[in-house]
Order: sequence, then structure tokens, then C-alpha cells
Amino acid sequence: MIRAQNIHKYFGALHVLRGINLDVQKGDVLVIIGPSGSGKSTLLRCINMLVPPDEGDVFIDGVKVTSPEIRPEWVREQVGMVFQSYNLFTHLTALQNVTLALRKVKRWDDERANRRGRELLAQVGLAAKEDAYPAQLSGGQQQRIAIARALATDPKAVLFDEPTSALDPEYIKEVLDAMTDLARAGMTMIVVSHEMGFAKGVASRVLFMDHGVVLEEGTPGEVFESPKEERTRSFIGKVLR
Amino acid sequence: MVASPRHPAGPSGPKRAWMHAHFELLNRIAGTLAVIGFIGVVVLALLGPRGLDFAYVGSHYGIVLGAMTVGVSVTSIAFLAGIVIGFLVGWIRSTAAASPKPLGRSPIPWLVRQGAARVCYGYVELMRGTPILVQLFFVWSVLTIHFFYIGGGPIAIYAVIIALTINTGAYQGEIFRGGLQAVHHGQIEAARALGLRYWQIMRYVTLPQALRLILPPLTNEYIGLLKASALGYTVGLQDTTYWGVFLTQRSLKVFEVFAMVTASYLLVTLPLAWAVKYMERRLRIPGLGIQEEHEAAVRRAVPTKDASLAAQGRSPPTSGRIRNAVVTSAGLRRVFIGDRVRHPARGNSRDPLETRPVPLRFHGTREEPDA
Amino acid sequence: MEASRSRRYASFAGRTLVRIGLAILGGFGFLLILQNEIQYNIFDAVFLSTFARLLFSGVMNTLFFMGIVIPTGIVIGFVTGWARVSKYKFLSYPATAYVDVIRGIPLIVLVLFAYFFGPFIVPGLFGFTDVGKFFAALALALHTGAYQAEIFRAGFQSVPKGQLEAAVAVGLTRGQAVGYVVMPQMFRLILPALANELASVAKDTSFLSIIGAMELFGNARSGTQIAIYNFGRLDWVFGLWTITALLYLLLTLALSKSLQHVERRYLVPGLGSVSA
Repeated sequence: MIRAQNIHKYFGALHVLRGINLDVQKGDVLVIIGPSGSGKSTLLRCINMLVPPDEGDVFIDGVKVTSPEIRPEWVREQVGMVFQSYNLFTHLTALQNVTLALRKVKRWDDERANRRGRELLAQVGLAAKEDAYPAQLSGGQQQRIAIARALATDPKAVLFDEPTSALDPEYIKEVLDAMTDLARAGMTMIVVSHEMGFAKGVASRVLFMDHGVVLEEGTPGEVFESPKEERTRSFIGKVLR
Repeated sequence: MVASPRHPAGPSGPKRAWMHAHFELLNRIAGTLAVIGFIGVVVLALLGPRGLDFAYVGSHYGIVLGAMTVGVSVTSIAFLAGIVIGFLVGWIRSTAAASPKPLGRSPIPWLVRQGAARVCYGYVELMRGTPILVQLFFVWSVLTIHFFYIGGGPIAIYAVIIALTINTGAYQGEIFRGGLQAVHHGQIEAARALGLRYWQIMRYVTLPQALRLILPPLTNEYIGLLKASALGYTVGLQDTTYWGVFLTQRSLKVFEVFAMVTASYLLVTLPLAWAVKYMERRLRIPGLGIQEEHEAAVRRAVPTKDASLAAQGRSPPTSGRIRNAVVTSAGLRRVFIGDRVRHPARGNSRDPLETRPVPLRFHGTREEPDA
Repeated sequence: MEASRSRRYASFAGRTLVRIGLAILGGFGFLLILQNEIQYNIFDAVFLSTFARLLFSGVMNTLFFMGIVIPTGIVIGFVTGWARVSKYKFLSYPATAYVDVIRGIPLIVLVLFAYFFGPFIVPGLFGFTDVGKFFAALALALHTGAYQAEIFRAGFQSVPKGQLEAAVAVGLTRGQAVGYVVMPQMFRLILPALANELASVAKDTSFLSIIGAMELFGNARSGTQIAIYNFGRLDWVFGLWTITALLYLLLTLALSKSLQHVERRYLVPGLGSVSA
């Protein structure tokens, strides 16, 4: 459903992505691991065209989204994103955060948008907090609202950029649980994360990236238990403690 | 409502791709042309039908430019005197703000300090709340009436210097206060716990960090003071502005004189402004002050060898841990100074709006340093 | 912590009274000191009655000029600030040039030469001085516009980039993202700096008197001439300047307070206020 072909990206002279190929089917949960600076976040952003790739193409459901003829806004309706620093709109309540896209992009009226917004907040377990502002909520709650927000436009897939890396340990579980629920419900997800437990439990495939290339790819069992590459082995050894 | 994936009508295919690929170059060309056009329009509007009298400029630029020395010297004297006042005021206000009521010992030194801080506060508010012209004329009146029959020139210079000193002392007080207070209290605590005495802490911990925050706005203040010195014209100071008015009224070649005066001031002001920008970039302590988000993003993409720097490159850092590393001037480069402080009363949010107000920098009396 | 409304007003009134009391005390102290130097008494009835109307009309004129300059300045500043952060260099380069030049020259130079230029640019309109004054006010607006452009620019840039990213990631166009997400947050952030700038405008109206406008500073200056030549009272000069200073102080304080009030209205629960 999501296919990336030969993606290259340069930041100035730095070759951040060197020929990445990706193929994600509907319902797949792809987890990408790797050291910082390997280009994982950049890759995610190339998929929803927040950062256009310098070379290569991305296809979503057969549509070549890297083509200049395709509206980037349409791409983002198809693919949602959850950020490491949540990036909730601080001046809006939780409900308003979730419904902003519905009201402004899809042009729904307030009643319809609010109904859907409340559904989504209930889905992540935060129905009671619909009128709270992000600053009044804990990190875990904010991130779950961010997930609800990403789901608002009924996307075909959701991208997660290290969603739990900025959280206090006590809040990591609630966010991972929300993500697990989403996966079990059949959502296509691409997750960049260091949470090995999550990857082992929920991922259908795991990718290991280093210095802009995919070094290893396989099922969680294959990559974690019997990695083929030396780099992979040492990275997992370090992260798994 | 089905949103279509394609753009609404517009240039498509190869032309768009070419424009896209060469965007940066086209952008720069368009920009340069726009500036030239903009300046051209302004010049033409001001100049009118007759041409630019280059001969006039050639013969008179000496006077105009030369008079800048008056302005610069007056400004520099007032600025230096202002540093002394400013440091004192800033220091009093910062220590008074940080010191709690002493419980056991005599409260008198504390009271004195608080009183002095209040007086300083009043002084600063007074200077910031009244126009420089009023301050200038006040001083000038005092001087004129005191030395009544001396009259004219010498009074003007003294009046300007004194008025400027008093004025800049207040603004510099704010700058010094901001810089001194920006050093995390936790570090001072840690230094005291190590056994350092007050002036040692000042010299090895506070000042090295504070100076980095103080220099850019201080330079801006100098620029502002230079511009304020132009007001000396109203009391008779024979600086560039004075000559500008004099020449204009005599020759009616408004644009030529204006161009000369502007050029003279810009000659001093622009390099200083560039110096400020350069300083702000070089002296920035990571984590203290404004964090440039896009710089952080680029740093994220760069693999770094040093683990601590790599951690620092990820924005935002893990929530609210205050790192009380004592940072001496030697260790400044290697140790990560201070993290964003989390206020327990305000919840766990790490929204950047919660932290220090954005230090915005501009020239002159319009300074709003971290307050 | 919902203190009852009346209690809050009472506490506010109490604190203000204390502040006013302290200010008066401070003023008295200052006057006492000055009295030793230049014997005068500010509460002279003749003194006050002579100059009251002069000063009052001065204040009115100052407010009038502020009413012209401030809105114009805000519009110029906003547009220029926007242009400065635009990715299109044909917008950002001229804006930057404008801001850097205006901030590099003294305001008095700008005002003076606007006054001189006026009649050349629009010859024959009204009288010489009126055109000049209009252009001088325009110069003030241009000057504050340049500074406000910096304020707006800093405002645009200090809204975390993640907000724009998230807004765009949800499907908003760039224009929508800026309008619904970036602007509201930016507005909150810039209020203190804007308050500072507006106070500066209030003070800079004094420059207009140099070219003949009858605002507070100019009137005070005429007042001192009257005091010296018509009455021969040198001590009245200081009284005059002191009162003028106090009037400007009141003006700037009123401005800051009202903007603080605006800031309170736009407070987002949970986020601290931006001005300490």
C-alpha cells in the first residue's frame, strides 16, 4: 500500500538517505530501529511529503505522491503522523486539536466534527479531557491526544516518529497500549521507536537503519534473535542492555 | 466531499520541475532585483525630477562624516560610564531578587539590599518611562541655570553626556540583570556546596556565562545610544545631525544631505549590527536562551561521536531534569549547561512557551531584555 | 483559588494605593533634594494655573499623534515581519533592507528629513508646515514599523516549528496552518515586546515638537520659555520638566497596563504568562 523506491535525501552536503526501498502492505506494522542520525525520522517525513525526497519516489495506494502534480495536503489526509514532541496546538483544547483538520480541511460543520472528535478521544481513553488544554495534561495524555488527532482524517496509515522517546517512564506504557490497540484494529503503521518490547509484540516487520541505508530487514524474531549483520547485533546489544 | 489528489490547474510537468529544481537560484535573483528596485523607487520618489548633485556631495561629505566623531565620542564616554552604573544596578537587582528573607541573623543588610533594589527599580522605570528629550532638557536646564552665564557650546556637550549616561545606566542595568539572572540558581547552589566563596563564584561561574548573554544586547545599547546622541542637536551639539539640518536649510539640497547623513550613521551602525548578529551566533550556549528549532533538526540528522552531544541534538531533551553541573569557564564547551526548568505548579508540560520569555533583541531604547 | 471579585478588587486597590503612596514619597524626597539646589515649590497655584491648559492640550495632541502612528506602525510592522520570514527572497530581501536601514539611523534624522522632504514630494498641498508634520508622523510610523517588523518576525520564529509541522501533517495548507495555529500563538508571545514598543512610540512623539507640532514636549518647552522670559521664575522650569516627565510616565504606564490586561484575557490555562 505504501511503497518507497530508491529514496535519496541530502541536507546540504550530508547524504542522509541513501537509496531506501520500502514496501508496506495494508495492515502491516513496520518498526524501524537504528542509531540517531541514521535518517529514520527523515524517511518518515519523506513518506508524507513533509520533506520531499531529492531522488526516488513514494507511492501511496498506487498514486505517485512525489509527483509535483499531487497536492501535499491530500497526501497528509491519507497518512497521519504522530511526533516525538507531540506538537499539540497549545492554544486549543484537546477536542479542538483533534477536530481542527476536520473543520478546516474537510470542511465539516462543528457538530459533526465534534462528534467524531469525541469518538476518537474516547478511543484513546481521554473523553473526559476534551476541554483541557495541552499544558494542563501529562505527557502521556498529550501524546494520546496526538494519536487521536492523527486519526481524525481517517487515514490509511499512521506514521510514528519516536512517540515515546520524550516521555517520562510512567507514561510510556499508556501510549504504547494505545498504539497496540490501533495495530490490533488493523491500522497500517510505520513506527520509529526504541521500544523493543513493542516491536517484538506488535510488529509484523522490523527494519534496521544505519547511516541512511537499510542494513537489515525481517520479522522481529529474525532481527532481534538472529541478526545477520554485525552492526545490527552490536546496536541491539547496546539498546537491550 | 472527495478531495482530489491533484493540484488545481497550474503549470505542470517539465516547466514546473525546472522551476522547482532551480528555485534557490531564481529566488536569490528575484530577491536582489527586488531590493534594487525598491531602493530605486524610494530614491526616485525623494529625488524628484532633477538629478543627484554629486559635486555637492563631494564637497560637503567631509563635514558631515567628520562630525560623526563628535557623536561617537559623546556616546562612548556615556556608554562606558553607563557600564559602571549598569553593572551596579543590575547586580543589586539580581542579588536582591534571589535572596530570601534571612531568618536567624540580623535583617538589616537584607533590608538595605531590598531598599537599594527598589530604588534601582524606580530609577530604571523612570528612565524607561520618560522620553530622552525630556531627560536631556531637564539636565540641560539644570546645567544652564547653574552655570547661567557660560551659555552655548560647552554646556551642550556636558548636558548630552550626563543625560545619556543616566539614561543608558538604567537600560544597561536591565541588561546586566538579565544576564546575571539567567545563570541557573542551581549552579550557584552547587558552587557554594563545593565551598567557593562569593566572588569566586562570580568570577568562575556566573560572569563567564552571563557575559555571553550580556554582550549582544549591550552592543545594541551602544547603537541605540549613538542614535540618541543625535538628539544633542536640539541643545546645540554640533554633530552630524546638526550639520545635516544646517546644510539642508542653507542649500535646499535635501536628498543629497539626507543621503550623506544616513550614510554616515549607517557606516557606524551597520558593522556594529553585524557584529551583534555574529556574536549571537558564536556566543550562544546550547540550552540557554533561544533554541533554533531547525538547527536542532539538522543536528539530529548528523551522526555525532560524542554521546552527550548526540543526546543534546535530540530535541526536546528528556523531560525536565535540571542538570546542576557546575560549569567553570574551562569546562564550558564540554559540559551541558542547565536544562529547561520544570515548574511543579504548572504541570508536566514541556511546551517552550513555559520557559523563559523569548529574549528579543533590537537596537536602542526599545530594548526588551529578558525581564 | 477563586478569591471573590470584591476581594480581588480590594487587594488590587490596596496595592495600587501603596504604590502611589510610595511614588509620592519618592517624589517628595526627590523634590526636597532638588529644593536645596534650586529652591522651588511645585505646588504654587499660579504656576499650575498658568501651565495647566498648555500641558493638557499637549497631552491631547500627543494622544492624537499616537492614534495615527500606532495603527499604521502595526500594519507596516506586521506586513514587513511577514515578508521577512517569507521563503520568497523577493519579499524578504527588501524587507530586511528596509528594517536594517531604518534601525541604523536616528529617529530624529528620519523625522527631520521627512519634514524637509514633504513639500518636495507633494508640492502645493496645504501649507508648508502641515505637509511636513504629516510626513514626520509618517516617518514615526515607518520607524516603529521597522521595529515591530522585528517583533513580529521573532514572534513568527519562536512559535515552535513543530506546530507548523503538525498542522501541515494534519492536512492544512500552509496558509491555513499559519492562520489557525501559528498566529494565535505568536500573538501571545509578542505582547510584552509590543507593549514596550508602543510605549516607545508614546515617548518618541516628543520628536514631533522639534519640527513644530504642539504636543506635550513642545508645549512644555514653550512653557519654560514663558517661565523664564515672562515670569522670570527659573525654578518653574524644573517644575515644568518634572510634571512633563510624570505625565509621560503615566502615559507609558497606562499603555503597559492595558496591554497586560489584554494578555491576561488571552491566557491559556496551564501556560504561564510570558512576561515575568
